[in-house]
Amino acid sequence: MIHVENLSKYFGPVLAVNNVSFQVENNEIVGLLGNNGAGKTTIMRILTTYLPASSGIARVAGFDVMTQSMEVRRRIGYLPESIPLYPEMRVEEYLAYRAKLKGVDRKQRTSRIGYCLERCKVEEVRRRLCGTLSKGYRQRVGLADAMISDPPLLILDEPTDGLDPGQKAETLGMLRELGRDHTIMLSSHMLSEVESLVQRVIIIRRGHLGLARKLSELESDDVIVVEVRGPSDQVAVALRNTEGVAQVTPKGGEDGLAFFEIRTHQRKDLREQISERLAKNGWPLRRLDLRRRSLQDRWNEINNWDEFAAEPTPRGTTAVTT
Amino acid sequence: MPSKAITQPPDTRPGSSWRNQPDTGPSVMRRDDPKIARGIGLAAAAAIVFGGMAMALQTSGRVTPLGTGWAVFLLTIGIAGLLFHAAFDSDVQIRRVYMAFAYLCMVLGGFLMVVPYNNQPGAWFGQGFLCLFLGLLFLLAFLRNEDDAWMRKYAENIIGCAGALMALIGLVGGNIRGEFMLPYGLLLALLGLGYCTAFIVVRGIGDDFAYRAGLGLGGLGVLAFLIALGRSALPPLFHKFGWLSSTPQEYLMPAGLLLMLLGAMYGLTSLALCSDNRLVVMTVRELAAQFYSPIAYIVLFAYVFAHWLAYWMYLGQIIDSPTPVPEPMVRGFILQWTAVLFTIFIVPVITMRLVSEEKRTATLEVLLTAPVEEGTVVVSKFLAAWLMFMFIWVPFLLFLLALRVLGGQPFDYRPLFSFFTGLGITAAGFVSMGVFFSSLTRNQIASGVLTFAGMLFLLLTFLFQGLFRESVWTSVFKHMSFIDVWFDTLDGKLVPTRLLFFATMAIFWLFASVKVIEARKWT
Repeated sequence: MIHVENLSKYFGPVLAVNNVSFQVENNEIVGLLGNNGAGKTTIMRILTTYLPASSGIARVAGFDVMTQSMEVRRRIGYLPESIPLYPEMRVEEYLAYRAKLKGVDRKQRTSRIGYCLERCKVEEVRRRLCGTLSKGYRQRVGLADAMISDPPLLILDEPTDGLDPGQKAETLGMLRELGRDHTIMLSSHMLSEVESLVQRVIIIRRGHLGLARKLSELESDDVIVVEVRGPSDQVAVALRNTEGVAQVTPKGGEDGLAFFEIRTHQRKDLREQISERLAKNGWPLRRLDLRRRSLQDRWNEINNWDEFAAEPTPRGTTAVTT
Repeated sequence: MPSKAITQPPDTRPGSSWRNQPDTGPSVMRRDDPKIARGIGLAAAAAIVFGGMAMALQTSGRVTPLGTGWAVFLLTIGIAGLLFHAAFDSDVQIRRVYMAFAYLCMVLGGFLMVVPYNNQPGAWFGQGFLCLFLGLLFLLAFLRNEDDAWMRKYAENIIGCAGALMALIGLVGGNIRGEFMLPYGLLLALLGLGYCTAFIVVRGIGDDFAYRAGLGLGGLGVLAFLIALGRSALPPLFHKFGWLSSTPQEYLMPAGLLLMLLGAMYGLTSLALCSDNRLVVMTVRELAAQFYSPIAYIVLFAYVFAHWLAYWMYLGQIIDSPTPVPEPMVRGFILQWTAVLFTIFIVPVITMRLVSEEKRTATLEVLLTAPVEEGTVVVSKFLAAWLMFMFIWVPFLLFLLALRVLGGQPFDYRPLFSFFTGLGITAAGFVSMGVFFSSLTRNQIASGVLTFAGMLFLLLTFLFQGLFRESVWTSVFKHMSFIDVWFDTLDGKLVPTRLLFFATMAIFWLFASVKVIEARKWT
């Protein structure tokens, strides 16, 4: 659905986005993470065709955002961070106006507006002037506007910002349901929120791409670390024969010690079975540990990466994540 | 630190269903307090009783402390107060009483329109028109509060049927008999348009029947326009080519012109209500936004004041003049300079917020990420401001009408056609300049000041002509001076080269505005 290749954006001397590449598949929920000023909004504005890239290619649903901007705009729903609404219009008038602009068929318009009002929980304020709404309600009206034409791609800049905890949970739940048949790209500062929702994360730091991977791939990085006193080749065979073990990687050893990293099928925690197998063979166990890196760890790692500041050359995803 | 995403099964995640909490609304909602509305309604009823009694006593030839003027004033205030009460008191008994009153007004109005008096059919037409107009207003106020579906549908259908009937009688009758057009056909067609529009708006364009009614309204308008155009233009042409031996009777004035105007109004109303064309949708929103803000009313009031001033000054000149005032009479209005001076100020006021406001509030971002071209955005804003500018000249026509009615003397109205053509083209130049300056900045004041400077320059081109005697600058300034164009058109002259200057100016500024908005995409 989204294909970004070597994307860069300069604002005069400021390099807001530096050689960023990533892909998002259909019906995937992707979280765009980064500190304030990292370049998240700029990337979103480029994808929504509002701003051009200085260099690089960005495609949405196979259409180039620069040269086929109208085709792209027909396929996206965008919620900007500041949620601009016309203050003099009533909520349902505004949605009707937006539905007309986005080409929603006249016969379906009323039901579509009703659906979005209900789904975004703004039915109670449908007759209110947009200018009198609170931040949370503006946010939800903006979300209803993004959804009004049922576009295949939703680009949401901090969609839960300003919502109370209950509304936040509801919105996330709604996005999760929408994500079954829509592609959603959302930006956020809240890692826990994103972690519970998205299938793919993209972390941006100072315009550079820090990470762009599926969460499932990150999760598959979990390894069991074993340090055992015994013959390395025999221990390796015993470990491989343990049920559920997918891969055993020897990591060397000295003085009769052997180190291994073990990956298991379906990320099963096999520490007990492994210790049992090793004890049965009479090999003393020195260390048995599950090494798991959370998104927070990755985030901290990327944000502590001093090279970003010093060295502006582009970095691939693998260089940072491994 | 273990991650929740990895360990927690999907079903127990927070917000796993978006329906898990009821929507409680932003605040506690309460019904409108009808106390104020009832107070106003009571005062309004008293005003109607006093005004009505004074009017009735005067009609029977008695002298009352309240003069006719006061009686009319009290009646008007009273009806306005009752309408307010009808709109804001949703009590079921009260709203149904107003419903009954509305139906009564409509039946009475229909009866008064057709009943003959002293062997004169239509003698009470004016009163009937007023009753039907009030009937529509009260029925709309009733519909604002009514929640019974059957009652609503019944009232909506009555509005629709009455509207269709009046529109047909007005337009068809006006076509059959030219003398019926003024005033009966015109008033009926206008009222019919009001009723039909109310029906479509209340039903909502999503309703198939209302949509078809809207299309029908447009079709009727186009048909009326074409027939009136044909009847006005073809017989004189046939006569000129010798295909028609007898001299045809003039149809254009007033019946043909009025029918064409009505047809255009019907067509435009239908377009505004039914069209999904993005340019139309955005122009209608922009125009509505002008009326939601106080700007439209301030501007309208200012122009009414300007024309009123010109009217009294000109009237003084006519009365004091020892010799008859030469034609074209209408030129005298513009020569009072009030309209010219007000235009310099009003163009910036109308145009200053158009694009700059969208830039400031970032609504331009959501607008331009929807499938809308930059050109459409600019042209819709230009059209809305241009229509607004042309609309505020309506009081000018009303004062001319007053001059004709109160003066009792006919005058040459034909320069008005050329004047409004010239005004429309020069206004396109002004407004497009305003749109351009508005697109340059987020600051409304800055754009307003720049547009004012531009308008002042165009005014000075007229005033400076005298400074350059017979030099090339005289002719340059003469081309740029809109006042010269206005004077020419008031003399009945449409000079294409001068008009072309303003038309080109409009195209240039609009093109430049589109480029300014597109400039964000230049890398």
